[in-house]
Amino acid sequence: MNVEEIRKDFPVLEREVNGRRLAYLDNGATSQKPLQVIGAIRDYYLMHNANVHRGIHKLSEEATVMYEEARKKVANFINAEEEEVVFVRNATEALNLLMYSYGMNNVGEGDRVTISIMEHHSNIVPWQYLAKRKKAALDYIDINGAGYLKEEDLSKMSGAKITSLVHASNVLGTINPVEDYAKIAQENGGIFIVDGSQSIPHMEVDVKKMGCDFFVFTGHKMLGPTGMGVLYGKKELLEKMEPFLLGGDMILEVKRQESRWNELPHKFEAGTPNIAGAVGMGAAVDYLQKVGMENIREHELGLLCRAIELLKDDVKILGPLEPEKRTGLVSFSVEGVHPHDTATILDEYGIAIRSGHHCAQPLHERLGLESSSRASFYLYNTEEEVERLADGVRKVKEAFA
Amino acid sequence: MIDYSRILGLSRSPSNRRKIEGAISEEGANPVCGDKVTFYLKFEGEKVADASYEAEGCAISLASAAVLAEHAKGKTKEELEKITNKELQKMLEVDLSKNPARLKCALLPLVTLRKAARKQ
Repeated sequence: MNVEEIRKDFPVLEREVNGRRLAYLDNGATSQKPLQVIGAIRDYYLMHNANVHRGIHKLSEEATVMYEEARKKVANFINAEEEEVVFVRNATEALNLLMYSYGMNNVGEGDRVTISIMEHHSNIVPWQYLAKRKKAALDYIDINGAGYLKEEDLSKMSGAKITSLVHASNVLGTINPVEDYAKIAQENGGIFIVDGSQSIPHMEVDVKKMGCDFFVFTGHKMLGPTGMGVLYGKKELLEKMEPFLLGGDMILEVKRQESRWNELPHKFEAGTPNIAGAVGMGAAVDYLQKVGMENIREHELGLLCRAIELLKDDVKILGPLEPEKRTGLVSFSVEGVHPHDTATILDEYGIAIRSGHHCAQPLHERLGLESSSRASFYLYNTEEEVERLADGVRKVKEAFA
Repeated sequence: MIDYSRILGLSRSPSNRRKIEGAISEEGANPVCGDKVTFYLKFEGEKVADASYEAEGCAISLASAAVLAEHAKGKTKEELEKITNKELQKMLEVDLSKNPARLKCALLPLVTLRKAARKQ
């Protein structure tokens, strides 16, 4: 894997910010997009644009093929069947779809839904809503001091109607061994949902091996466009579920008083879909597969180890310290400096990081922090950028000394 | 570029960082970043006789609370109402026009101070 060659596909990385070369270390929030993805979207709008699944004319047929090709690519990427891949706007929409279409019909008074304390708000708020509406209990799996889910809490998954866990934490970086957890979550008939937004951009994902019932992720963190996400679901479950949004494209037949639903996955894709977004997502999958997920993982592990080594004496690093059990991001706090001030000073050196609660307020509360700073790496980041981050952090400490 | 030199000094200054018993008080918070500020105003007639604050948060919000507490003394509530965002940035000797996210940090104390004054 040649990082210098890869960087040529991302012109934004040549930008100057505050007089310095941009060091984009906010990939956990969103990734940059390569020319190949932007080109695919451009080509679609320039030469093929038409609506899908309805026109008889050439362009409509082309648009339909391009849209469905993208689905094939995504299905292949996660080892699923095409009909098990539903296109949505983002992981949040996928989780809401599951809460309404599955949760509202399968969870009742006295039932339990289990999540963990390291969830993103998108995997907390829908389940809170469901629990309140259905008078069900919402249970949390706690973390231990090292940043892993607590062993003694794992049994909370057993007997829950729904367990929904993050695959890789957007704050701690912890990679949860979800293939082991699936068995516990499902042993008493519950379903197991995995939020893969922070894992799929950075490592190989095989939903069959994982054994989950549903896997959700967003496209924009994996080189794809915004507004494009995926819900994977086991066919037999998706078939039994009620539709989420109702309208065009999700129906086979509409009479005055009733309608028949379309087949999978179209039953869950009401209205004109994000066709260009799907095309861009397909191009992103092509790009990632060409580079190789194993290579990307290895590269990020290198950056992560360097970052931990350079930062560990100057800041408090959150999450596990075993690199192979976490993704390529480092959340940290600088003693006596508010994370927003850290981010502002680093920005002055052209270094883009995230500061705040990262949409994980309950986790920060659990950690006894109001917020934290996070540098998150991707395939185009370099060791030099990690070194600039460490230098920047030392400058923050000097400024606040 | 944000010049932190004056901000840092102000954010650490102990002056006016206290509670005034029996004074008008108003609490403000920015739940997104966790900044919190409470203003205390003691009026004599139309004018603020004493002003103070308690706060936790980033350097910019702390500095903003500090300059505003000092500035409030001797002002009427109408005068406090009229302080503009630009004037506040001038007091802080900082230009946040290109950092809207950080401007919010500076504005929390201003909004809270105005609300406190309106209670008079």
